[in-house]
Amino acid sequence: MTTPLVEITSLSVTYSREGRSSAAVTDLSLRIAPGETVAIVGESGSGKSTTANALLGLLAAGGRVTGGTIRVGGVDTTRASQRVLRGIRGRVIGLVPQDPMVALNPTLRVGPQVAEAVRRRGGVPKRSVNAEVLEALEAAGLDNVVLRARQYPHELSGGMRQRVLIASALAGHPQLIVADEPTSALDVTVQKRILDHLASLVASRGISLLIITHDLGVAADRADRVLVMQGGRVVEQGRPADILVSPAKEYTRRLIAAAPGLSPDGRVKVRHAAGSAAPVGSAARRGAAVPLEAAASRAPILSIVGVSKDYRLPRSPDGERTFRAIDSVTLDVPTGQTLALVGESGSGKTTTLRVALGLEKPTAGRVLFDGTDITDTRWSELRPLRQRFQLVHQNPYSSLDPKFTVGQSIIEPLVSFGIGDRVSRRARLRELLDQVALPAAFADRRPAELSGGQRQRVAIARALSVKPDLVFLDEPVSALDVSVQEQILTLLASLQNELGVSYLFISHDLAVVAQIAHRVAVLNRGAVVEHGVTADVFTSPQSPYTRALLDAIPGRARSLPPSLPPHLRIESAKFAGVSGRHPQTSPSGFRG
Amino acid sequence: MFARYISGRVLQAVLVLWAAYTVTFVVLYLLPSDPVQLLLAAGNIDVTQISPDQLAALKHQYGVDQPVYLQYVNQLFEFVRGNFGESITKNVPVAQLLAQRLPSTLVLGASAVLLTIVLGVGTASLAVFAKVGWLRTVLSRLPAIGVSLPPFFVGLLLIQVFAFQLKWFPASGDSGAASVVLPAVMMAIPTAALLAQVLTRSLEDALDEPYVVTARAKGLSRSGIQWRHAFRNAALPALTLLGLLLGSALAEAVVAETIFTRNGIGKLAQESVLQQDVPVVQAIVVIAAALFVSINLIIDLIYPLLDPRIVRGHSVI
Repeated sequence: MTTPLVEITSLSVTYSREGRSSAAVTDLSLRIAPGETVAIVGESGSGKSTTANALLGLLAAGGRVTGGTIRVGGVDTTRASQRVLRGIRGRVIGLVPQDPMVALNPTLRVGPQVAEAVRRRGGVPKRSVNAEVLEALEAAGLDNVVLRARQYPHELSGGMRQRVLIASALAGHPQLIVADEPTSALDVTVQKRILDHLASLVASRGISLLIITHDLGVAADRADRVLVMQGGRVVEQGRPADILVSPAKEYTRRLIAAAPGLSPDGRVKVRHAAGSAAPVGSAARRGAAVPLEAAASRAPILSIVGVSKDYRLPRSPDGERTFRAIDSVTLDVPTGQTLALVGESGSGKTTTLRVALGLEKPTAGRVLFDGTDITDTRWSELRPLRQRFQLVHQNPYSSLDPKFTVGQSIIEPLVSFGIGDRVSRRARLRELLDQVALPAAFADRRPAELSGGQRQRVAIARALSVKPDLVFLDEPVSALDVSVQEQILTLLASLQNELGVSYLFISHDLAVVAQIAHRVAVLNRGAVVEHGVTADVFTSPQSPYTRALLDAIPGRARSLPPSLPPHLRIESAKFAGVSGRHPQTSPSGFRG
Repeated sequence: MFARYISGRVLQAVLVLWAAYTVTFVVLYLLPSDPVQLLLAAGNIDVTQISPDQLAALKHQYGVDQPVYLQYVNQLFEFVRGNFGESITKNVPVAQLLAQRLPSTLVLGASAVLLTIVLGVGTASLAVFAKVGWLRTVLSRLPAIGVSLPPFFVGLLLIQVFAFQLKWFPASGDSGAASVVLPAVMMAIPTAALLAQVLTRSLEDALDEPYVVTARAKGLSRSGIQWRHAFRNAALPALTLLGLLLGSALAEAVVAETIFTRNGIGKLAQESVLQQDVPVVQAIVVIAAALFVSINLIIDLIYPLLDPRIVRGHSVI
């Protein structure tokens, strides 16, 4: 066996803050051989990022290695000086950080930021630095590299920024690249392209790759070996094929269940195919006909009819320009059911939501809420109607006032609409907390004391407080860990059964939508490209764009019998235990 | 894009100047009773002693017999031409008074500003970047003391120690470079402390940013990260504050020139307000506003050099 590039032996890391210390990683051992791809999977707080940071000697303030050793290329770096660590960073281990939107210096052009990594390598003649920068940018899959090098980070899309960060990591010619949740802030199709590209790069250059992720699907698609972490400990490790087929721990099973693309037969589960969670199949679809037709006979709670919205762009030499954000969008939210609106950033889903909420006047088209035309209603006239439709925001970390207690937040809509008195509001608060499965004692807590999932439950309770007929869910789970996503989606579904509330569910992720939506509409560049019953959209997507979205769901294998349509391929290859790397699709075709 | 940014800023600066002039005009000419009575009182003449004809002639001489809007327009026109009128108490053109007093104040102001920047940026940088732990602690606590000391107290303390006891610098007057030192130090201490507080905070925040982690992961040196990545990003809020502090330097010059008996604009402003010398006060206010506006204009023009996002907006992809 070759000597491992990285050898971590019973590593323990502790964070101490204000005299209290807590263990972040306990007794972790890990070896990475040259050319190997390893993935560490776990929820937030499982210690996976701490492990990666310890490897680079970049533990956050208060973090300390309290036991074990880290050896990089045979050298003990556990208590090494900054000088030694600086020699390793960039040149032996490159990092592709978590959130590309904030991981580049906004005040420096892209080229110089990559050039820093080139220069650190040493021995590069001054005149060839520029050429090396362009080469790295090109290798990372960027086009028009001369222009890109001169641009500032804010002029690039998220996918392009992530490619710049990959270029910086590559520019140091490292032997190992650590990718810390490299794509969780990106759209699914961009995420897939970038991960595929990164995987093919390391494969062709013989670089080792350490992927840190909360999504077992992402890990299973690309890693030779997977470590599952929980509470700072490795609870399970092995080849993805083995772990997926026979997970030894309940926790791993939960992670598998939570990764939408990893259901045991390799298909995406569609909850509302027959009113219950069942894999898509022809029998299920026959069963689905009845409830869906029953719903069709009732008038939709919200109708968006031929809505277009133009935005004015800054004036240019050729005069006034406009940008059409959405183009003749027509949607119905069936009463008592869920319509999912799926699209990537820039697809127009947020504009559609703002028009439907009456926050933005459409350029053309009508919006009907329960038969009432609300398109041109003035703010004051719309206000009584607002009681009947509520919104749950994407990010539960910023949508709750940190100074309000949970109880104050939840009853705020009641106070605002002047509903009930102190006693009846208290009673309603208890009822709502119970409905979203939070203990009554949470009423006096503040958001900072709550986890992300708990906060989102509070936001849902707040939206439900005025007993709305329709709730807009704007990416309600995309800021949460996969396993927490699952719980929130289940809660939303059971609340719908119980209260008969309708949902307009906005998401960039088709997999999430499958578990909750009755109908799905797919938006691309401002137009609806697909609209239908969820089961139909997943089994026989009409538009190539929908197919691309379905293929991008993590955990879906790519090398399968061509006889099956791509979205229905059973992941036989993975389960037969393919060792080594999956065949790569051509990276040259991918552009973030 | 850049030309549009600049022309917008310049237009804004002109508007602010005009607004400052207008507000002063309204306050000085319309709020106190009768300008001519003010003029006579300033000359120690009782209104009852002069005839209505003389009063009318006086009113005509100072242009106050015209309707208010005409006075306003005429005077604005004169100000734009650089004619600030004549001082009532000193019987010399205001422009001449300003030319005598302004240089001393400008030298004092510029020295204080320079000292503010050096002390403020130096303290903040050391408080964040110093390798010695206790030095960081001491320097990060220091600005809080500087902010809470009243300037006149600092001034008296400086005179007591450096002028009377050590006899290093003169205690008063405005002759020679040595006389600038103590008042400049007095003016710089509170502003530098405020600047250091803001800059320390934003440097600490910048060092926590994810792009600094990216830079560290590239293996960059400590100083490379600190100056290239952290300082540039942290400088913006400090720069905004610096603009505001410099603008108010004239107000502090009044205190400094009083304590150190220097014959500058600050002293002139104080005298003119006490003697109700309206034209002089009006001219000083406009000069102060012009200083404030031009300093902030310069800072607005520096911004895009530090942060490209201000001029180069988000591209639509």
